[in-house]
Amino acid sequence: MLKNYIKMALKVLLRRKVFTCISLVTISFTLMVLMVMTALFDHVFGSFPPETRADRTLILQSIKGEKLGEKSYKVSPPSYAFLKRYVSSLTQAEKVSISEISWSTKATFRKGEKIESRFKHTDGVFWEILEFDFLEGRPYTVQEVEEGQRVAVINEATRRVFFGGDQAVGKHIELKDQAFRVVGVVSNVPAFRLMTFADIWVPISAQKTDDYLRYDSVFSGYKALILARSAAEIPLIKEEFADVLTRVEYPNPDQVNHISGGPTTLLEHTLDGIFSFSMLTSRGFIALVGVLILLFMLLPVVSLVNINTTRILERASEIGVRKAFGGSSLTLVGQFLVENVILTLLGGALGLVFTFLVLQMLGASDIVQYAEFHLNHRIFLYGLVMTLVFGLVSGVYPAWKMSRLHIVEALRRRKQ
Amino acid sequence: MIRHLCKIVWNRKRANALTALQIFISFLLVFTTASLAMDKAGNYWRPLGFSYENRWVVNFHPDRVSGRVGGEKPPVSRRQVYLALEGFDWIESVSSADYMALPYRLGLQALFTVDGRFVSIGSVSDQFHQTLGLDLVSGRWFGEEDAALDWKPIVITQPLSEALFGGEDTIGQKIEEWQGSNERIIGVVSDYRRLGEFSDPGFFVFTRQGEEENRGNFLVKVRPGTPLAAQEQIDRRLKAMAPGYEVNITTLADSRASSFKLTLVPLFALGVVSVLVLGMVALSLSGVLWQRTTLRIEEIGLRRALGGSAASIYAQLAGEIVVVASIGVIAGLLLVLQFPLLELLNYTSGIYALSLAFAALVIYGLVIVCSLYPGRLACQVRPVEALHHE
Amino acid sequence: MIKLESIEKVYRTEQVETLALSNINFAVDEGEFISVMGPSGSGKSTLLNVIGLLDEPTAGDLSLNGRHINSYADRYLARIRNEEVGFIFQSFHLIADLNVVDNVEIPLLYRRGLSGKERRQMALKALDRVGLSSRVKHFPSQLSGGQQQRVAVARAIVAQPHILLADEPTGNLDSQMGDEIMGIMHQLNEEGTTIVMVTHDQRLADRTGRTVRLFDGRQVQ
Repeated sequence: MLKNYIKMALKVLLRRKVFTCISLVTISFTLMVLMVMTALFDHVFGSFPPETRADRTLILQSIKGEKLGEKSYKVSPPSYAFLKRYVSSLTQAEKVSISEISWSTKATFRKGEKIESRFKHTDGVFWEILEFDFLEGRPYTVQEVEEGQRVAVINEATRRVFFGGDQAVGKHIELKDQAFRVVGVVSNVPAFRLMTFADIWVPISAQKTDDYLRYDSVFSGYKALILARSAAEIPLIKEEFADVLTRVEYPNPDQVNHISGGPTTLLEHTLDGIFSFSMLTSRGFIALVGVLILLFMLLPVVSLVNINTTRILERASEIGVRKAFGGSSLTLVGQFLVENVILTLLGGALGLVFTFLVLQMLGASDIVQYAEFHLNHRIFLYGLVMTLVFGLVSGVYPAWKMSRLHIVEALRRRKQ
Repeated sequence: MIRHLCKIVWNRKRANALTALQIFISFLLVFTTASLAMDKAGNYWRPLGFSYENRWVVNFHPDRVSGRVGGEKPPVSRRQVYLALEGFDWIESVSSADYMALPYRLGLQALFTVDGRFVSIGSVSDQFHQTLGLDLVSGRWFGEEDAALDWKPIVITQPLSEALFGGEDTIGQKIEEWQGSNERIIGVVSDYRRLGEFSDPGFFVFTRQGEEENRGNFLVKVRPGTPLAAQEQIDRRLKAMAPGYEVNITTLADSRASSFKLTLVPLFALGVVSVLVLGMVALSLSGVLWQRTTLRIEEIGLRRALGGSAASIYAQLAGEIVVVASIGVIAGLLLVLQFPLLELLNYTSGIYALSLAFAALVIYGLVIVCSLYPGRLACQVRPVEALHHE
Repeated sequence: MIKLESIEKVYRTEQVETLALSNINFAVDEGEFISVMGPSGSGKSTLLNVIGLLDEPTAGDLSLNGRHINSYADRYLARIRNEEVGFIFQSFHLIADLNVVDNVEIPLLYRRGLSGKERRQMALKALDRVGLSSRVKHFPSQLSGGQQQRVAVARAIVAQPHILLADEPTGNLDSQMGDEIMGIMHQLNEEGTTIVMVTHDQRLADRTGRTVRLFDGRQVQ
C-alpha cells in the first residue's frame, strides 16, 4: 500500500512541476533557516570540544550576596577562596575546577603592529574536566599549579603568531613581564565558548601576588566548573550546595551575611543572561525578538498550507473520481499525507545542502573568532524530525479539507 | 466596482482566509524588521555627543583576577598618572572616569528610570568633557572649586533635561526621581550616547570624580596620526611606576567597530532572512493565484463576453488580491497600534508611521507583483475558448 | 441591424489550416428572430462568436447596429459587446461564487456612470422579467437548470442590448424548461430585441422567423 502511495506521489509531483518547485523552494528554505538555527544553538550549547561533557557539567559563576535586613545586594562572581572552601569540597561532585571567569588581554607590539592575546588563569583540574584537542604537548598538572610554575598552554593561532607555526613546546612566551614555558598547544576554541575560550591558559598561581588565596571576601572574579558523575546526579549537587550555603562563614559579615544562588547548567546560565540583558534594553525589544522568531516559523507553514490547499482544489475532479470509484476518505488523506511528506523530505534534503553552505559561509565570515560550524549527526537528526513534523503539519489541514469534498461537487468542478 | 470585488472576496472567504493570514503575518514581519532598522538608522544620523577618533582608554590594574578591570585603586595618585601621561608630547589631553562612564562599555549603572528608560550615572574628572569632546550647551562643567561645595554638582544630557524639565531652566534644578541626594544641575551637554551611534538619545548623569576616587581608568586624547605602537611606551612607563600592575589600552575607534558589529550583524541577518521569507511568500502567493486563475477560466471568458476588456480582467484579479491583502494589512495595523498603548515599544511616532507605511507599501507591492503573471495569463484567455472549455 | 459580408474564418495550427467559415453573407434586420442550424462542426458557434465579437474573422466585413467593426482592439470590442450584445449560453456560465442578483449585475459593472443603486434596480427589473424576483439572494448551485438559464437570460438583457445571441439556450434543459426559455425569448423579440439563436432542434427553428443553414462552414440556405 505504502509503496503504491509513494509511486503515485512521485508521479503526481512530476506532473505538477511548477507547484512542486514552489513547494520545494519554500520547504527547503524554511528547513534551512531552522537547521542553521539548530546548528548555531548546538555549537554554543551542545557537546563540542573542549566542552564535551556539557550535559553533566555545572557552572557557578555568580552569587548573590546581601546583608539581611538591608535592601541593597550584589550579584558578582565568587572569590577563589570561597570556591575552594565551599565548592571544591562538594562530595557529590566527581571533579571541581576553579578558573578565572573571563580573561585578561595582553598586548604585544611587533614592528609597529599590536597583537592582542587573551589569557585565562585556571587550575590543573580544568584540563581533566574539559577535553581539549591537543596538537602537541600536554596540559599543565595540578602539581605544577601548586608549585606556581610559569607554564602555559597556547592555542594554534597563538603558535602561528609567535612561533610561525613551528613546534612550540619547550619554547618560552612572554606574559606579564615574565617568561612562560609552553607545555602544550591546543586547537582554537571559538569565542562563543565563554567558559573555556582564551588564546593562552596559565596557572592560577601565576599571579604576582598570593592575595587570591586569602578568604577576605566572598566576591572576586572566579568561577567553578563542577563535573557530576552523571547528568542524573545534577540535582544532588545543587541540593548539596544549597545545604553548604547554610553553613558558610562570612569574612566580613557587616557587609555580606547571606548568600543565595547556586550552580547551573550552561543553558540555564545563558537564559539567566538573556533575562538580565532584558533589564538593559526595553522589555519591548525582547518581546519583539520573540514575536519575530514566532512569525518566521509560522509564515512558511501558512504559506505551505495555502499552496497545498490550492493544490488539492486543483485536483478536485481527480479526488471526485477516486471517491466515485470507491476510494475512502481515509485512503485519500493517507495518499495526500504521504505525497506531502515525500515532498518535504526532498525539500529537507535540499535544505541540508543549503545549511551546509550557509554554515561554511558563517565560519568563513569570522563573525565569531575561531568559530567553525559543522553538520553533525545531531543536527541531521533534528533536521529530519523537523522535516517530518513540517510535512505532517502543512499537510493535515489540506488533507482534512480534501476528505470533506463532496463527490458530486468535486466531479462538477471538472467542468469549470 | 470595489463593492463587487469585496463581494467576490467575501463569498470566497474560505479560500481567501489563508492568504489573508499569510499577508497578516508578512505585514507584521515587515513592520517589525523595518521598525528595528529604522529605529537604528534614525539613531545613526543623530549627533553622538562626543568624538571617538584619536581617543584611547588606558586601564591600569593590578595583576590579580578580580571581578572587573580597573576595579581597584592604583598605588600611585591620579596626579602622578596624569603627569606621566602628559609627559608624552603626542598626548594632548588626559582625564579619568568610572569604567561605566566611558563610551562603548556594555553594562549599566542605573539610578532611576524616566519614561521607562534607565538613567545611567558615572563619575568623571574635570578634564573629561575636553578630552572626549563633549558639547556643553548651557551652564558649566566641573572645576576645582566644586571640591569645596556642600552639595553634589551634576551635569546631565540635553535629552534627559528635556524629559525631566522640558529642556528649560534646567540649571540649578534638583532631580526629584533621584531621592535623598543633595544634588544640583550645573550644566547640560548636547548628548552623550555612551553605547554608540545606534543607541537611543543619552539619559546620562555625570558626577564629579574627586581627586581620591580614581579607579584606574584613564581617557587620553592623542595627536592625530599617532601609531598604535606608541601604546607600548604608555605600557612601560606606567608599569615602571607600580610593580605588579598591568596596563591595558584600547582605542575608542576599535570599541566602536566592535559595537557596530554587535548591532549590524544581527540586523543584517534579520534583513536577509526577512527578504528570503518574503520571497517564499511571493512564490506561494503566485502559485495560489495562478491556480485560482486557471480554475476561473470560464468566469473570465464570460466577463470578456459581457463586455469586460482584457485590462479590466487584470484589474479585477489584482483588485481581488488587493482586497484580500487589505484585510491582512488592516488586521496587522490594528494589532501594531496596540503596541504603543501597551508600552511595548518606545519608538517615536515618526518611526512608527514610517514603518507602517513602508510595511503596507511592501505588502501591496508584493501582491501586485504576484498577480502579474496570473493576470497576464488571464488576459490572454480568449473568451471563445473559455466558454467552450467543457 | 447585423450585416455580414464575405466573412471568412480560418483556424491555423502549426500543421493544419481549417476553414471554419467561408464566404458568409447575410443580414439580420431590426426586430428579426433568426435561427442558425447545421450539424456539429458546421461552424454555427463560430458564426455566433464572430457576430458577438468574441472571435475575429480572418476576412470580411461586419457591422452591428450600423457600427462598422473596423478595429479589433480589445477595449473597443469590449465596449461594443457591452453596449450592443447580450449572450445566452448552453451551459449558463453563471459565476458560482456570486448570488443571483450579483451575477445579473455583471454587465452593468463594465459600464460607466451607473450607481450601485441604479445597477441593483436594473438587475431586479431584469430578474422580474424572467420571473425570478423571489430568488435574488440564492446562489446558482441552489437553483434548477431552468432557473439558472433564466438568470442567464436576465443577465443578457439587463444592459438592454439591441442584439441577443443565444447558443443552444435550451440544449441542457428538459423540454418544459426549454419552452419556458423560448417563451421568454419570443416575448423579448416582440418587444423589439433582435435575436440570433444557434440550435440543432428543427422544432425550435420552425418557431423563428427565418433560418440560416450551414454545412462545412458554408451557407447553404
